[in-house]
Amino acid sequence: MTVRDVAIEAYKEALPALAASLVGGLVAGVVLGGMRAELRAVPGLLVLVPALLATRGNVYGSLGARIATALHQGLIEPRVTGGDERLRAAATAALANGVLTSTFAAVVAFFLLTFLGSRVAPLSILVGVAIVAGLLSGIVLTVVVVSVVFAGYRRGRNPDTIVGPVVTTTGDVFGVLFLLIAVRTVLAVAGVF
Amino acid sequence: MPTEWTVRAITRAMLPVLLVLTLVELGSGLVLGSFEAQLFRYPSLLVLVPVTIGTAGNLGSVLAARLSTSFHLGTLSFSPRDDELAGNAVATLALAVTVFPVIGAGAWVATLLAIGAPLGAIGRWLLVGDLLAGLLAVLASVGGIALLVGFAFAQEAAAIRRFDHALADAAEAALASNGAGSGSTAGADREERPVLVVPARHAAGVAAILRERDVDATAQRVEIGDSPASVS
Repeated sequence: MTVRDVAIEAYKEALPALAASLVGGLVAGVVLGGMRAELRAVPGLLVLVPALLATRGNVYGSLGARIATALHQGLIEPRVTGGDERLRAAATAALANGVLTSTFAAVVAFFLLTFLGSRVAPLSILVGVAIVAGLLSGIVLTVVVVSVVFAGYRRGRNPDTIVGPVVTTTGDVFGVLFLLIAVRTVLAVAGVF
Repeated sequence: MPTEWTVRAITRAMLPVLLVLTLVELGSGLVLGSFEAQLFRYPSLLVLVPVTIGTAGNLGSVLAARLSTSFHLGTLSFSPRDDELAGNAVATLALAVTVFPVIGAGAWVATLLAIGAPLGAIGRWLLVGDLLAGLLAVLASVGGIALLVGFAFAQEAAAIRRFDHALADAAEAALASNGAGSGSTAGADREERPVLVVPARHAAGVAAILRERDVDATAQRVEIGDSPASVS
């Protein structure tokens, strides 16, 4: 194959997935643009945004890849019975990794900004937002990733090619959406006490 | 090595990588935080944040996934003239040139429809600015991936060299014991020489190492089905 053939094939293969995640990214952006009030109310939150969004992609992308490989190897059945130990372990580990990494990001961001002398919200607020957002988006993303990969596999699609676009699109949208919900919840709870 | 399917094993395999990546992401978050005021003033810039980060990441991972597949299949060589490598790099740049102006325009429309914020001059610069930012990001990721692939090749080459040395040691040992034996069978009309059959990718390296050690060695290609007599 010449350089031209390789380039055309790679271009055609990647464009649909990119277009899908582009739409998801724009929706996430609109939500982010609409939460300027929350971003102002919680200084330091903007610094956390790339880390939180990337964590969703990394954790649930790897969950999807793991499930896709297991389907290929026949390790798990494409059925959500709730009793499958491997599936349960993978989902639990993903959720734990997501929440732990988000919390770590919040703690490091707090100390980094304090060290730099920037204005930053109390540690409890940042950690609270990270945990609530990590947990909520994690539950939704686990359900979405597992059901989309299983449904695609049962219809004869290669799960490897579905995982990437599904995770980037839903990860961005739900990541920002649950960030907004988490900030509002944590601020409301903090206002009560 | 495959990870066991337990919560503990998966977490142990994933968490260290995730934590390191988080530190890198916080670095980009600090950059974002440094122009917070402009982002709040022009919401269309804020709209661009997730989609620009996401698309640059997607382009990089598409390239990385394709290259690593070709690498595993053995159809890739690490040379700038390699068709597979050049073709994928060209495709990634072409995708960036296609997608980033669409993102700029999309963010512009989305801001107008959803937030109804005034665009001002910044809106007109979005398309150009996002194209430039996207291209820079993609160039950086193409460079980073090239480095990674190069590193993988260097690792592979080092492993082959280590195995070459092990094979050469074995050949030398065989020759030494053979030499001791041939002393007692002096007068035989035919000198016996040890033959070491190695995979083709090791042959040249092993022969070179043996010659360095002043062992009279030659590399010879043996085809499957050759009779022992045909190998002189």
